[in-house]
Amino acid sequence: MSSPSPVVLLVEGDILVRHPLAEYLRECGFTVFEASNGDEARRALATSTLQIEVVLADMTSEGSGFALRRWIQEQNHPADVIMAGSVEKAVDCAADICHEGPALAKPYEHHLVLDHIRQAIARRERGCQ
Amino acid sequence: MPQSDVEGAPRSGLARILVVEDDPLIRFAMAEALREFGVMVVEAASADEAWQYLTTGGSIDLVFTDHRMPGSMTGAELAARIRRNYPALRVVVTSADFDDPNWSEAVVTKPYDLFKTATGLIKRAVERGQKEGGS
Repeated sequence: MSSPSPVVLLVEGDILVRHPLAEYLRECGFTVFEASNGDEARRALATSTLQIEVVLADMTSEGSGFALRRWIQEQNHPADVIMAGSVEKAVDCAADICHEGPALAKPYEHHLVLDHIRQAIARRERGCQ
Repeated sequence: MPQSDVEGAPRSGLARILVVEDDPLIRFAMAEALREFGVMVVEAASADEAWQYLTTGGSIDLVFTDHRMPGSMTGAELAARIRRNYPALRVVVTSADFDDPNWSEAVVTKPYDLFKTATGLIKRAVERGQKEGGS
């Protein structure tokens, strides 16, 4: 029986950013718990039986950012908290996590993730279907 | 648990299922159950998020949506909007207390069995994918 893969809690309020980032981290061998805001992240940290090792949180989602980091510290939760203030930073952070992750090689270059996200956001801004 | 080891499990191929659920623990459990079968899963925390994903070109075979969620739409309203705009896309609604007498589609009652529900969703998604591929 293989050992469980390390768990990353990804907190990101935009599905067009969260989904490709989560898929990238999964390709790197992580189990990824997706939270769309700080409340969902707190619920995962407080009640999930998963051993969450890393929290990658955006700064803009409701209840995320510094408030979430402070809460995690107050709970004495052992997870490392990484905060990203922009999509570009979030992708860079995911690439760093991936580099130290369980998979032997990165599945694809992280700039492709960023390109994918930018294209999806551009489609949304154009109102395209 | 590799998908090939599960007795009675459908072959998921590259089925794509959008799971729409505001409870993050239920959403995660269902998404991971589907991923165990090799399904590509997209997780949305609300009907609004799901709609945003679909309208920006997200490619999906089936949407599995909770009914009561915060935001501008219920699951049934999302399903109706999908039916109007993406008639080939399959939608399954789940709820603990869904009681719309005009609703003619299948509803998965909560709490549901993860394995049975996941395998049922995959069968529907694969059927849709095969129709799409053959057309």
